[in-house]
Amino acid sequence: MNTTGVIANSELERIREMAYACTRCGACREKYSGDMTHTPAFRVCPVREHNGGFEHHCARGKLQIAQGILEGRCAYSPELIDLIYSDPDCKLCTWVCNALPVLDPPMVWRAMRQDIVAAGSGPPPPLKEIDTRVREQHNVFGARTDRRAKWAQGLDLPGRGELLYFAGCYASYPQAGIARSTVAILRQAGLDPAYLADGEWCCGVAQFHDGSTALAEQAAKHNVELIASSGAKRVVTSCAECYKSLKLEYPDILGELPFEVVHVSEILADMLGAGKISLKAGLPERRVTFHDPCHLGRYCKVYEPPRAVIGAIPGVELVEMKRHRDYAWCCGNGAELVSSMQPELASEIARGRMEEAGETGAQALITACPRCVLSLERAARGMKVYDLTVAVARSMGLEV
Amino acid sequence: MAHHPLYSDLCQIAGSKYVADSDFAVWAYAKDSSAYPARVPGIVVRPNTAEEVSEIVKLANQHKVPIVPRGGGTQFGGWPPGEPGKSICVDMTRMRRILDVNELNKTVTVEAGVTCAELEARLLPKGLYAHTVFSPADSVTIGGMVCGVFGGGGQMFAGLASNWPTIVGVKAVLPNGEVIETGTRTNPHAKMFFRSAVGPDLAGLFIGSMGIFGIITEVTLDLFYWQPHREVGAVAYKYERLDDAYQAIVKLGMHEPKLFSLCILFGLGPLAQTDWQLLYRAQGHSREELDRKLETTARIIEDTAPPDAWQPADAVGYATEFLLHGHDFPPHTLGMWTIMEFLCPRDNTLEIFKALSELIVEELRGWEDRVLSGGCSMFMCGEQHYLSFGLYHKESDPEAREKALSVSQKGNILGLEMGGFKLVLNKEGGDICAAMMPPAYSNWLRALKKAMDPNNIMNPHMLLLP
Repeated sequence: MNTTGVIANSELERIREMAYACTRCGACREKYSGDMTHTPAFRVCPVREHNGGFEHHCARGKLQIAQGILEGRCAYSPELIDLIYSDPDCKLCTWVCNALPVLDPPMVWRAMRQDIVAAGSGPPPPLKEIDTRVREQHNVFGARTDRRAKWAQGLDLPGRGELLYFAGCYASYPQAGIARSTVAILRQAGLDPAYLADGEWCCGVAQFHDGSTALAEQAAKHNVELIASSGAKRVVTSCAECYKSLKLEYPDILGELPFEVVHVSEILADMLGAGKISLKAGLPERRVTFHDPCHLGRYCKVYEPPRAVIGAIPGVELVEMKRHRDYAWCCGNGAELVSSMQPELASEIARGRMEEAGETGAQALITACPRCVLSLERAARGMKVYDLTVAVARSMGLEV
Repeated sequence: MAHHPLYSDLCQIAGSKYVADSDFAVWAYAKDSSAYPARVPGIVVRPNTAEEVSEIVKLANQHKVPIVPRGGGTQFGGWPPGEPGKSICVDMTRMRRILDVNELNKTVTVEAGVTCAELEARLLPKGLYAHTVFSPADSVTIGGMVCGVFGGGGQMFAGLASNWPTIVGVKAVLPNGEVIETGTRTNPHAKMFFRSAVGPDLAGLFIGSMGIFGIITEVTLDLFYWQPHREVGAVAYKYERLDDAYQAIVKLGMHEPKLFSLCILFGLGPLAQTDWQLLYRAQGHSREELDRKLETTARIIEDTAPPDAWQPADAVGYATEFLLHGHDFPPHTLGMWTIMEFLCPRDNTLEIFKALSELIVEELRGWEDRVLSGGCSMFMCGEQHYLSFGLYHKESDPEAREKALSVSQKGNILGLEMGGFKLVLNKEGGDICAAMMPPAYSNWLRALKKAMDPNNIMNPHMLLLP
């Protein structure tokens, strides 16, 4: 057996009860839903669907493997390590399993990855490269740190203020339009968002998931200290992954934060409700569908605010995909895990999602995460893909 | 890592994407949903067609390597052993096409890997349904249901009933690799539209066989019209004494025409302390029809026992509680499920039920914290009763697991000795039943197996066979 170095399993041991909580019912393979009459059966795990459909690619099989590791029946071969890393942690299996807090399968994979990293046997090279970029340049692209705030050029954003916009890597570098749209909308509502400029670091989402916990903690401490020193009482993110990091991961390791974290969709819905902004124009596409980012939806349970916002765009009809809200299919990125480990698989997952979007008859897809936008845009085949902020800015007639 | 000796051949047959033999991949196929021990195959293959299955079987025969077929992997009777580390596990879940929905002949033909839930989801929009198992419908495949789940429990909408009479026929790969079809397909010019055929009903060789005589690749089931019921309602009663509750369920079962779509007597929590809860669900095309059924039901129930024996209860609450605890698969919060299930004739159901309850309470004395005797139920199942007892334990507690399995084994033997008929088979469950077979019957079974499968490759060591 081609095994790696000795792996202590200390994190997996710590959640041993969870690894053994699976009753092997198989709902994580496909799901019919509690509504016995109207929801079509669907496959749960995008990775299993695209990798030959074997048990070891679904939660039930992987939990069995985790037990095998604890019992000494399985060993961490390079092939198994690749498997443990080729999961988007999209949490759809958690949702259909419906056994929280007793069982949350991605927590088990995360523990396994932490053990692999602690033993020096991971993460695999594509993710190690991302870790290196984050460690050295504080962004997932390895781009120059002093270019991080280039998106804000000419906006004259303050460094201090009660409301702070945390742009994240994607909106800071390749998708600056999202950051500029967010700021423009907030300003239109009479708010004056501050930002961290070049001091902002990657939120550490990939490191939280790939087992490089020390690096993730370093990012968390840095960002929280900087945000706190800015005087911010409220932090808004336009990225679902940043939102989940700040909202769930940071308090988990640092305790209660001295500021509130909101996703831009939540603040937009509130502002619309309060009449602080108004959407004037429609989009070129009349029929649109919404893709729930996993980190915004299943992780943080933010489902209605983006829909309320889309519903307020004049002349736009929102049509749901077959799998939406808790049941939404992943975009393929999965905290950089799948897109790094199996890029072709990530593309296939995204193509599947866009096909589903196409089945609704929608002419455009709106989502609320720059990373989802990127994944889905590449698979779009003619369908327009918007970030929510871009669509809203357009509807408000804002020049960004 | 060295590959399984048949790795390349199997890749030639099914494609390398659908063959796996790494230690972790086969480990993921080592158990069913029970607490019985793991049995690790040597390699897993996921064929796409009956022809591929046939080629796999021929290859296995040539090399005398055992085959263990697998559907949804949710049996409760212990995973078949095959030959640990060597067997070919044939995962049938890739064969999941619905081949023919024939509304004129009222039959549906599906590949073996279609799940009960998917079939239901595809049929209901057409106003149709077929009898399948109701839990865990998300995982149980039609092939698994026919050859392994022993007929299943029936389909919720139509009331519970045995599935066996609604199986029209099967297409199967025999242990020698030949592909056969049963029923009216014994006339090669005919469709599969009727179970009876020239000669004996050989479909029965495969139904409930756990794959010892071949691998089912297609199943044809009777199709029924599903008339949407506009009104659904329920009544529920709480009893202190099991005898009183049982009399009510018998009276309701004897009533013609049947008034219910679901009738279940159940107790939750430790057996020694449980209240008995009777949930009765009815459907009607109109409010009047539903009200009439519910009123008749209430009258029968209330006339069956003295007024101090029962009290009306919250039907919605009961339904929710039952669904949470039993129907929709055991909740993970309670732990691993070890189940004893029996089909019982009406005339001694109550005795079996009581004897099993007493045995479980007695056996678990001192273990109450580690093995929970939660969840027992009695369904109407056609004209019979279907009993189910669940024991829960933490999978991470090996001693509790052994205790649960030991109690289950004793309970299964007791239930059989009292005239019940066991429904959950597979390895250990099947062995208990096979040990009670009259010698002439087991010799006949052994002779059949030897004649059909001389190399003993097809799911060996089941039912105490070699």
